[in-house]
Amino acid sequence: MRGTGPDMIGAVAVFVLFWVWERRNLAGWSTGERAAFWAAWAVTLAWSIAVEAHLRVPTLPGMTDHLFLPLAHALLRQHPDVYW
Amino acid sequence: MISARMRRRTAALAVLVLLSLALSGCWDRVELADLDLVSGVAFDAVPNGGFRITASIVLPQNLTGAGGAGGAGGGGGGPAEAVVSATGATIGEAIAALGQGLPGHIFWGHTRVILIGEGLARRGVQPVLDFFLRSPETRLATDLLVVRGEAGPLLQLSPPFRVPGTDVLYEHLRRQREPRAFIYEVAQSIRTASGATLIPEVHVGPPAPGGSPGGGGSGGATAPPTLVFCGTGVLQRGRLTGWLNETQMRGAMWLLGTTRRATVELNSPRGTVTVAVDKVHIHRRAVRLAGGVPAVRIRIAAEGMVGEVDRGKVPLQDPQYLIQLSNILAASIRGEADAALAAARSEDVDFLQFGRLVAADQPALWNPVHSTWRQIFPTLRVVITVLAHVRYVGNLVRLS
Amino acid sequence: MSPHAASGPEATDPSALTPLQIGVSTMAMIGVTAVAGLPTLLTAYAGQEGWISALIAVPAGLVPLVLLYDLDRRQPGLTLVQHARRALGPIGGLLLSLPLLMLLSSTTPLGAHQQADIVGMEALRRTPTVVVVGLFLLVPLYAARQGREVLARLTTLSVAVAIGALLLIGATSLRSVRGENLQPVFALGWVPLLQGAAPAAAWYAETAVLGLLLPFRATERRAAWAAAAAGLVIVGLQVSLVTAWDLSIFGPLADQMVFALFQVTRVSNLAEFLTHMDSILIIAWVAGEMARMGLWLYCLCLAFSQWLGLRDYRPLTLPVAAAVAIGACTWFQNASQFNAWVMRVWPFWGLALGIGSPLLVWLAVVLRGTGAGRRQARPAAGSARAACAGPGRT
Repeated sequence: MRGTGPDMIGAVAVFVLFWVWERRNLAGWSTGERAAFWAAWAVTLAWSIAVEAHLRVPTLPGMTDHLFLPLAHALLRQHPDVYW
Repeated sequence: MISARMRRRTAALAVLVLLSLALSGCWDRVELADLDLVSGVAFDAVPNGGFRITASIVLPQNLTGAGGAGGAGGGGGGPAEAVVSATGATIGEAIAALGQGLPGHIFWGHTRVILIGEGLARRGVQPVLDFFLRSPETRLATDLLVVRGEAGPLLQLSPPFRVPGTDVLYEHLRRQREPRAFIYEVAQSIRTASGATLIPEVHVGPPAPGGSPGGGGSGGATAPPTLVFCGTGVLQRGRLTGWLNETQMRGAMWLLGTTRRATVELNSPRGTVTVAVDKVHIHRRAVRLAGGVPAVRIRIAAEGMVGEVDRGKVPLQDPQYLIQLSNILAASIRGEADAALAAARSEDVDFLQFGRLVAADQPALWNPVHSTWRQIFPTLRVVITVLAHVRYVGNLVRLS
Repeated sequence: MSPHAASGPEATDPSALTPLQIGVSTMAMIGVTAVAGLPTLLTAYAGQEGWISALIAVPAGLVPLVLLYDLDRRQPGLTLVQHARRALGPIGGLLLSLPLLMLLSSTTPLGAHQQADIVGMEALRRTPTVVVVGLFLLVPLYAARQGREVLARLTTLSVAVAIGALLLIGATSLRSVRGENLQPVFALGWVPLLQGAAPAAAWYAETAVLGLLLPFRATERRAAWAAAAAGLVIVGLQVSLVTAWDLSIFGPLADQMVFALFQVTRVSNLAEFLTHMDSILIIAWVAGEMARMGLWLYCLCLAFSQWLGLRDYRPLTLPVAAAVAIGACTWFQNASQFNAWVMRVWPFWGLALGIGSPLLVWLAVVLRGTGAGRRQARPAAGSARAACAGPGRT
């Protein structure tokens, strides 16, 4: 999803499509559910916009590498397989 | 008034229809008619480290009733394949240059054989292996052959027995009279301690005697080209280091355990017979000798039938004679095996995969020797036991 | 699709899972990505004994199941998130459920990324990744919204198709198999075997996620948990067999070839006639992935909804699916970064969260003394047991 205007337009179009899908259901949900729905969409859209704008966004490797790579270096090593 | 249920069904149907549009593919859609199917490809070395690729492209529209020879067609009205060639500094560049002359998308998925010219084989086949292993289109069980001299011209020939012509090579290899070398097996060998493997060899022979093949074009008779499979190349870490003659090649197949059947001519005191060996059991094992020295034991059991009496009056009804033939057969197989072993030792190349055998069966002995295996291999003790049995004489005992 | 009674999200979906459905759900949730990604990792660490590592790691998947069993015995019918809330209250439960949510939030996009990588590299090279990921999410999203029963039925069908396709590929590649490539056995020692078992253990520890499915069982506890354990063991055997198959064909090349199963299809052929079995494998892959993604999406949305105290998980399905798609497309720059992360970080991340999430909840429940052991407690509002009708549940 990186980089271009068409991606942004596509993302907004997907959001509009899904909002149309959910619009009828929204009326039947409780306040909490509606709040969760909009909050989740807000987070997702913000994330998408941040990615498209090439902002520094947390990624899974970015959050975990510094924690676990030293452990991996210490405990997990590939041994050359001499039996071939 | 449309009910909610009807609305849901309509929506579901609309979604299914939309999704099904994606079934035919969108970005990756390629029409079958837009594919240039490569049935065989040859790689040769050019100066300055470059590559020449020669590809045999199938022409499906000419396949029905077509003859094999270049410009002459049968009922199809055109050649069954077109051979194109291009060069480049890398294989990728050469393929791109090849593609420029072709109307469609080159498809490697139906490549039956890959020919490597001798020059490129001596330089190293790794770039070819790398390309074919990396691409998801190619099949890994594609045969690799080495050609004495240049490989490209061999694709220009169109032997009449198969369409496309490269199938002649493929069908011959399927009969397993030579060791087959698939791409992935050659690549595997590079990563083993011995690093060596055998690759079948082919070259163009003299024209076959006789008239033109059926379906020849106007004008004079053209003798069909012959392809000669005679011997085997030895690859060490992907580079051609030498050749094995036919006797050594058969011996190597016995010692590798890849022989399925064989035709052996035996000279006995009473005459010459040809024996068809069709039941073969080969057992290879690495053992530990006193002093912690590894050795290899190979047991070959072969059973055959007299296929032909070539010369002399041989008493096939005599059971003692059949036992004598069995001993001669055993000696013949033993001779071929010894020839292969001598070739391996003289070249210091373990194409018989004894290193892998020791690693698999005697790992404790393998550990201290694996880094110096090439020096140890020539002195490795190999015990070969051959049990041969000529059991049948066929449907005829004697003609005269 | 409108909710709902006041007694909780489960009232909107009263369906219960049979042991067969639990078993195939376990196989789908863990096995699809494990069979795709583990063989190369196992052979990278343990050489030709990688298939043994796949079996050694199976007990790691049983640990979360044992903990979940005891939790259910103390208080039947509650999901892991509900146990956490019950033990430590809403705020404490929020914190206690974080490991499970982290596991779900990270692994769902990881699985989508892996499958998109496979399809994108081997088959659809020009199709944008977001389209591949989006197509992989559409059907599971719809199935997840329909509830457990639809998911379970989809899974049963998909797993059967996937296994059939794998068997066909195995049968047609038999002649390329060389048993000697698996020798020597137990020559490398225990250290490589255990190192190879590490990523496999992290994969199998995903059984912690069953803490969101097992409470909705239709039969007695033992049958349900036995089915889950059987599903896990079958996955372990599958991974071991695929690894052994890959090794026996490719030998020293096995640890260098990505997506082992795909490479096996490249040597498969049926009577020299059908030589392109790729589409068979893609069928297996997509079928399995539909089931897997649906289950993971369902569990992720259910966990979040219970974490937030919502009545229904459905409002979250669309935005969460979109977030999964974004994560799958953007977390990793390239295949090598993904492979390196899975090889080095995933063993610790997956194992810590997979075993840690049920363990922390179990410790909290045991220390707080909530639940009365074998005595059945009255179901609280919002519990899974409130609306599920099922015979003989203990």
